[in-house]
Amino acid sequence: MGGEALLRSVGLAIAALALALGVGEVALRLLGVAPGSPAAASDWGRDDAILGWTNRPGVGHPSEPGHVPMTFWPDGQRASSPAPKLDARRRVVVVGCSFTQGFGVADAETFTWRLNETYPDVRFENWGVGGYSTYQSLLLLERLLRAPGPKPDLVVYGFIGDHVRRNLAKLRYVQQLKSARGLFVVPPSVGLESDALAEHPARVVAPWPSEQSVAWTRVLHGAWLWLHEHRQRNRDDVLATNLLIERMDREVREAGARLLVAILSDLPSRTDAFLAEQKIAAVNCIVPGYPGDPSFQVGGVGHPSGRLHALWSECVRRALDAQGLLR
Amino acid sequence: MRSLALGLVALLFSLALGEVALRVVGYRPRGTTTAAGGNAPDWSAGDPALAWVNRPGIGHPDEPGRVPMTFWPDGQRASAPEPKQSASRRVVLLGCSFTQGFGIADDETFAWDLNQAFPDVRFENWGVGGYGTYQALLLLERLLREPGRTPDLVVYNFIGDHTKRNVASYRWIKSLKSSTALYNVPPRVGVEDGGLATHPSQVVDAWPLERHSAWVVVLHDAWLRWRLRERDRQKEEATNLLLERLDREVREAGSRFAVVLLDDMPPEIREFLDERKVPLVDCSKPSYKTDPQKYRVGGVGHPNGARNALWAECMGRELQARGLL
Repeated sequence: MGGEALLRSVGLAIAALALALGVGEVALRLLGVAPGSPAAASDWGRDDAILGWTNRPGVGHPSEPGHVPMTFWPDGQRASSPAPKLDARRRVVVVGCSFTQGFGVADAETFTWRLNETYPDVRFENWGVGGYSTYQSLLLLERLLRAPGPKPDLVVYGFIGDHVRRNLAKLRYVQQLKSARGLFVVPPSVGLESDALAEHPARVVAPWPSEQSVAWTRVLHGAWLWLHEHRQRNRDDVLATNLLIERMDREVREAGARLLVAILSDLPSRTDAFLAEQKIAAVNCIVPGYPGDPSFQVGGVGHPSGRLHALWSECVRRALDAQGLLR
Repeated sequence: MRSLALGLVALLFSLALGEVALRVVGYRPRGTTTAAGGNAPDWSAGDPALAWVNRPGIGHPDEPGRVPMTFWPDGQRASAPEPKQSASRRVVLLGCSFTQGFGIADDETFAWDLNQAFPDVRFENWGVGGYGTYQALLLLERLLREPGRTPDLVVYNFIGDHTKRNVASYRWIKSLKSSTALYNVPPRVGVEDGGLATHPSQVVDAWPLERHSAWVVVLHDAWLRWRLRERDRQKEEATNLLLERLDREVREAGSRFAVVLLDDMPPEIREFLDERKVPLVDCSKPSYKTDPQKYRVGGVGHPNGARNALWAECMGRELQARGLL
């Protein structure tokens, strides 16, 4: 083969490859795969080097029907009474995710606000943060337990089944956490090593070169992340969650307080059995109509509505009274 | 067939010859040992999160003289004739055996000397033999969670050996012999994406035949050394991240933090502390290693009472000069 023929063959191969990539790019976009792009920052959250993110003090607006304003006090907790009940006899710290935070509902509709109305001499503090896992709730709780001042008398952890995958920062979950700082933010997470917890710090996944303009690159990056996840992680996420709840219970007891796990949605059977076996106080507040019944969701489609929060408030109240947790 | 048999015989002969050669140069099959750190000594008790803690009561170090060491019911080393409950200030001292006062009498430790020098301050000695920065941090987190008075000052007493302990380097693991497994590895840290990753305690078990063959010992050692090769490279950065976390958590608790250098600090850690404006008190001179007869227990062991007295004098003077007491 002469030099000219070789050059022609190479040119043809490059053209064929470029055409294949071009056709693939069009096909990917038709299938809905768009190039990755950084997201706009929400007005209710802010970056935190340890926790990934926290509530931003002030008024934030959820991406839910109605965009109802949510008030956060200067320390980051959700407003859960007209003013902080500083002279209350007892202090209850409530941690959890958006369900606890009351994402999408007005301050006065959250279950923590209602509990503050029910118990005038108890200060219920709503430290729920949208998107949090058990692990992030634990890290926030550790920060609160370190802070100077009186320790809480009781800690309520609002559990939902989705926390299980969040604790291990499963890829499908992480890919929802679009960030203005990169492609997406990976919250602090845990893994298992010899059936004990290993902890991994928060990080940001930066886009690959051209990922924000080429769908192919996004697909390749996604595949690489998937392979990486499968190589790295022990996938028993329920065991990891159980160990996190056990640690939360131990640390709360070390602080001289008690823990109540309030199950708000989807309880894995192994976690149910674990709570009973470890004698960790829990109350099942799952409402069978959620999700499904539009009256239990903001705008019929979103997060738990004020109606569901009212039922949770009543459920937690019954548990507090029946188990003597505020005595 | 004959060739195969001949090959096998040659291989077995070579292995046997190698085994003899290894034993001649000093390698031995693993014995079942009892050693400091993981378990067995009468001064320590197992702990699921910290791997080990001080055992309340009287313990005896494996140092010349085997001087009794007293630990109060909460696990801190006795650092005064009795706890100074009415002191107006509380100082928590963290660290390893150097802080604990391994091998010396209660009233020879620098914590005891400080309590005598500052009658209105309660210095609590939470040093534990074998601890690195990470275990000291975990212990501090536990202390800060407890109801009661927040410390006014937290002092972390550093020695260079803590860096390899923090990452559980090969050389450190090799010194943590266990009576039940091969090694008991305490909780450790690593660096991931510039952040601190933490790993729980673990046990390294002996390989099959390791208690009978020097060959297997050599192979297992080589495998461990290769597997853990990255850890030594991370030890300074990991230690910096731990010191940063100690400082942050102490400040979150409304307290103040200082690092006291007892012996050997890598320059990158000194620079990091300087950059972060974390107070560093250098009490490392003269090194206890320079004059063993003068500064070591029995001339060979841990820092002795005379060296502790110098540390106490340096710490008291410098912490007071910086307004930390």
